[in-house]
Amino acid sequence: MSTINQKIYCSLTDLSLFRQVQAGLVEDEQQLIKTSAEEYIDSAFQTKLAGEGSLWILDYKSLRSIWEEKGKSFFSGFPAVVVLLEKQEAETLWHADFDENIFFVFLPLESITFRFICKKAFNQVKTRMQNFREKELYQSLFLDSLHAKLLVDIESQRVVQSNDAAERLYGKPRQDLVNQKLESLHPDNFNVLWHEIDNVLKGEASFVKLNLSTKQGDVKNLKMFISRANSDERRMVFIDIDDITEKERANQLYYQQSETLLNTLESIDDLLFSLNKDGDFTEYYHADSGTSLPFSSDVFVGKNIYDVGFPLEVAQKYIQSIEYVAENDKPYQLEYFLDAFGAKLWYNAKISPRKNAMGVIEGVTVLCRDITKEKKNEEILRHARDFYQTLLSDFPSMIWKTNISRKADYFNNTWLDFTGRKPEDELSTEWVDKLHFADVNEFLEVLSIAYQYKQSFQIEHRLKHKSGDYRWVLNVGRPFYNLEGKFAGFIGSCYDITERRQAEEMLNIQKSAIESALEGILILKDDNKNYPVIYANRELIKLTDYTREQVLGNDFLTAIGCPVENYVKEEILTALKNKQSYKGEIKCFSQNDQKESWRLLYIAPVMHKKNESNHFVAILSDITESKLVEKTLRDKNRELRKTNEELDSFVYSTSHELRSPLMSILGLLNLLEEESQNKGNDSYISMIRDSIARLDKIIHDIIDYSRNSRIEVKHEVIDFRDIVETIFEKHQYEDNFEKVELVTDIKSDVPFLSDKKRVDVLINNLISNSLRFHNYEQEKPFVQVKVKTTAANVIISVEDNGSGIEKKHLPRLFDMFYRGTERSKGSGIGLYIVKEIVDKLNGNIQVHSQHNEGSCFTIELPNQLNKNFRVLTLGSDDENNFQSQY
Amino acid sequence: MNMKLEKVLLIDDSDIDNMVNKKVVERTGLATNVVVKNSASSALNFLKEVAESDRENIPDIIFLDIRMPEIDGFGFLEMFEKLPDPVQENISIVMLSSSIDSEDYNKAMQNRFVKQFLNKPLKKEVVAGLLNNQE
Repeated sequence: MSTINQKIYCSLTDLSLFRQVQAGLVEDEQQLIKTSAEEYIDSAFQTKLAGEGSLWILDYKSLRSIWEEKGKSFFSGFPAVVVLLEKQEAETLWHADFDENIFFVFLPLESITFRFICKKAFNQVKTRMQNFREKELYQSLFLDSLHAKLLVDIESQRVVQSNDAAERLYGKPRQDLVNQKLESLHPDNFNVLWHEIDNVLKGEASFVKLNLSTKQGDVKNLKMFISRANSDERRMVFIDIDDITEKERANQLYYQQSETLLNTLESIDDLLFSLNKDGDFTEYYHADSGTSLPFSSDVFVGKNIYDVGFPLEVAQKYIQSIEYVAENDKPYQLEYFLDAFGAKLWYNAKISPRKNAMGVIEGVTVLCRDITKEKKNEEILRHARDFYQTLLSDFPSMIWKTNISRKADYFNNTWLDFTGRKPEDELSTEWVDKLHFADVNEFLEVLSIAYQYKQSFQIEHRLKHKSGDYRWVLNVGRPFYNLEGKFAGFIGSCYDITERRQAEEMLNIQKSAIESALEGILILKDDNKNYPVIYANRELIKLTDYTREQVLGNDFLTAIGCPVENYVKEEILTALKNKQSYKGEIKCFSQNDQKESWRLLYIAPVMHKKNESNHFVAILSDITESKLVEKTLRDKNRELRKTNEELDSFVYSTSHELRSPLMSILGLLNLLEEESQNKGNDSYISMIRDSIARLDKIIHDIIDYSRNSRIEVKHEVIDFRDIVETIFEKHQYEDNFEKVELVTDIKSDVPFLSDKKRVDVLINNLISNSLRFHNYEQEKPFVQVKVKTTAANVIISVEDNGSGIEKKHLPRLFDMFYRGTERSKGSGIGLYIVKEIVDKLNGNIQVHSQHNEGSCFTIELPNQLNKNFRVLTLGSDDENNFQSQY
Repeated sequence: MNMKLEKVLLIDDSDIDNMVNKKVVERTGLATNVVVKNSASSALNFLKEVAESDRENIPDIIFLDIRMPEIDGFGFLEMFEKLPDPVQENISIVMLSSSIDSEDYNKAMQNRFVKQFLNKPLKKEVVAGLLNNQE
């Protein structure tokens, strides 16, 4: 029988019982420690591992009070408890469920049994202690780990156990975590997690990275290690959660920074160098990627800036900058153009003071950047801006620009030239005052919509011209974007379309005019075959019996609705084929009423540019009525002419017929005179002779008159000398002829063309008048005939110092049958004929006469020389020398 | 050529004119033989006769009227062309008309046998002048 050598704590109120325990259980009294239950519990909690390696013996009363006070499970925390109890006390506990570390011993104590039970209890304590220690270790690993940990039941997908870190991670107390569905902890990516868990169940442990959105709104990056944790009863997984949020962030930051650094390093196209106060290079760095000045540092270091090949003015600038920086302890920016080392480049040098450890300025650090590209871009941009500004400003169409708030902020010169305003006045003039009042509202509405949708627009409106007139413009606006691609307003251009509008208007007028013309108008297409009608006006439709639809597209000859004879068709088609015009009167026979009708048809090619003609215009009018009138007129005219001719010829032949017996009488009278000389009949004979002469003169005049009106004017060369001489000869047998002095002054150097016979009659009538009405009593009676020819005309004057004409007769001198004096032996138509002939020859006649002093007749006739030079060679002298004699 | 005025033929439809003309011609004292015919056809017949059988009496000169019934003066001239040569060679024709129509004048003067165109009435001086005026 082994002895118990562990410490035994006794919480027994019955001292005799304590003694029994002492006697029965221990040999060393020190071994047994008497304590109250309260004390034991206190010390047990204080030492944490209460009753380590010890046994706690209680009586039934203490058990009950602890039970009732702390609950049955309170004892599970103790190594082993031995409870001493009466038999009847044990009955009440019979059905109670005890932890396995509670042992019961029935009283009265039998030492062997008691010892045995205590031994068992001790062993139990030993095992438990061992278990407890392991559990403790495990707990400290599990519970106190900085990693959140979860033990999850596979079946229920619920958390079985978790730790403080999990509490912190999920923001829930541990008791709330236990029994939580895993899904409720990771609602966002539960499927991923479970999928991984599933994998783990099938094979090796694994991990998964997940994000977790916390209550605070952060996102945590979790790395979750999953391993199997099966016990006998259930399948579980153990999840170790590493919060790698910070780590990830740090990583990311690191990557970003290193990337930036890398990029920076890579993009350095710069020179970095240091100079001391004297301008000696102390350091020189040039990025590998830099291509502007590919020198290695040893070229410069140790040398003075004046000695390395910089242009003098650049080196000077550097030196001045160094002085400035050193003096002011301030960085300085230097911009210069470098034309050296085979390169032409712009540089921007940032020159900063460089100090030693004591803070004394030793020199400068220069970061030198190649800004050639920027400069070039700047230049290009400036050029482009200048170019576009010039372009816009002098562009031949009017250009305007509005800013984003719809306010006009630019008008080009063409615009200003149009409105006649100064730029500043134009900008301050509202649209209302620029546009015609009737167009303003529509324009503003269009502009507003355009702004709303940033869409192009196009509108025709009237714009006030500097003259005060409004002119029509086509205004086209487009949204305008600045260099950054941001909408900046509208830019627009205006084109003066007044002329187009006017042309359109004119075209409309022309169209309407053609449409409402009172003649049929057609436009034909030149297809070289049928010449189809492509246009026909109202009147044409009226002229045909067709509808417009029947006319349009139909071939021309059908469309005019007038069946014409074949030869006319041929004529028309030939003209069309040769692109010539055609004019003709066309006779149509209507099939219906067999009536004859007439059309006047004009066709002319429509000439386009380059003298090309693809169309014809045809004008068709109904001339049936005028044709009828014309026919009647023609018939009447023919009749009249016939009557006239008959009358003429009657007068002519009658005159001749009259003359025949008259001449017989004259012949007889001559005989009578000869045979009855000196028988006192002379005066009778003379009177008969005068009467005959008068009658013959009348016949002559009538013949001359009828000749003048009947015979066409001829153009012949006239020999005035011959004419005048012949006239004088003709009159030589007349009474008193020998008393008159005949003067002729004929200047006929230029050939004169006119109607010889008529000119002859003219001069003859004037001369015979002069002779007949002369005053033979005066001293020196004369008749003077003057002729002067020029290329333009002839002036003929017949002057006498005869009886003259009384003033009262002058106005009626040239009237038919007017006889001013009883002395006149004529018919009274002599001067009438003179006037008629002068008119016929397009000349004029003037009379200067003084009663009892004389008369002068002056005739001017045009020379037909230039108009008819051909006749010069045809001059015939046959028709002359023919004069009557009596 | 010399114009003779000894044998004269007067052709006119007017008997009065013929009478007057005959007297005027005779009074010049130049004519020895004056024949009068009052129609063109009788004159032509006369000329044919003398040409065939009585050449002595072929006239030296003919005074020819224009306006005559049936055959007028111009008709006569046409037929004169067809007469035998002796007649044509020896005879001068002088137109004697009251016509003052220049067409008549022109037409007559174009005929090669017509030597002169005179207007009625015939005057003694004019007849006498014919001899002198001949070229």
